[in-house]
Amino acid sequence: MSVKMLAIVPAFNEEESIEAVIRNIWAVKEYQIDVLVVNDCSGDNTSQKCKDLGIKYIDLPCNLGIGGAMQTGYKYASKNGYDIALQIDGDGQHNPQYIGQLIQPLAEGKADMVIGSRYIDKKGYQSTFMRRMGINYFSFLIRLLTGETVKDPTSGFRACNKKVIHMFAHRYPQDYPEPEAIVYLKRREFKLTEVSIEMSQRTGGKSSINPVKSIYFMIKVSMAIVIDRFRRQIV
Amino acid sequence: MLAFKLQAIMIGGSVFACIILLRLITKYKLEIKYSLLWFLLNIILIVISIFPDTLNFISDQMGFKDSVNALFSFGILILILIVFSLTVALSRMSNRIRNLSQEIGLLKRELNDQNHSEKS
Repeated sequence: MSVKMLAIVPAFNEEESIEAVIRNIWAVKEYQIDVLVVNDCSGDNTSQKCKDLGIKYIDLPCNLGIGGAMQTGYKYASKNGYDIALQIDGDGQHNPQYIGQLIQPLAEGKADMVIGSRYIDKKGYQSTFMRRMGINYFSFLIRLLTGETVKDPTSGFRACNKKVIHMFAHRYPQDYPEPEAIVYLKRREFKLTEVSIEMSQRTGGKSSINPVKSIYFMIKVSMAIVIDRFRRQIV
Repeated sequence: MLAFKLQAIMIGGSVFACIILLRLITKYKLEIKYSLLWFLLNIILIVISIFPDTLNFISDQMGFKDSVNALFSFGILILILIVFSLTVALSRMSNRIRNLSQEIGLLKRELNDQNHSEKS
């Protein structure tokens, strides 16, 4: 029996980079990977590009943000019986040639979710100084509250198994979901692991984060992580 | 000067409100995004009731005759902010619902057309 694998690519105004991202996923010949682009109500030609490439895509009628878009992908994966879901950003930061490393711990049953981390071997694009500070802070906060060491908690390059797909389809954090998703999984006693990958700088489009948003991001995610510790283990 | 009774009521009320907010968030019944202004209001109230001198200082600087008036003014100001943010959120929601309804309407039409072409 072969393993059904879905790559979920959330895209918001990524017409410049989306094609390269999808061709890079196709270039991974070792695995049979279905691609699903979740177009989060882009104002540009992202949708048309997907149509031209002949891949599956979902055009959301309203902009839901990364959390809502990602969850749409997980709902699709859950409904269609996928065994493994991969998260790959539509901006070209994540190199699909690492998919093999990413899914290996899942195949061996060592983890339920695998996070691709830039900071294990410290190779490739390491992000700006300010962002690294923020990432270290979240890493510290997560270690303090869950005891789990995650060196790159904001990384959106992830793979997870069927159990986690079902859970994320049921509930997935919104706004800035990556660090919160880690705490959520730990609360449900799932196993996480990190593997070393390299990231590149985004190839097209522009980042959606500005100074005011990043302060809001810090406060909101900190609160989300701390409050999640007070939640009961169920739900 | 703030009366001691008022201080006690403010602290008790704010702490109680914070607990309610936290409980609702842990039960996924309130989004953190919409709770932030309420937390801000409560934190300001707690700070003012523990350190009334901050309020006295600000009210002197702004020319209020009584520091309690400053307290009321700030309270009203933050409430206006919260109501305004709700209006903004409401407008966004109504936009979204319109988009969703239109999308569903179009989808139904498309589905009908497909069914008809299959029958004929």
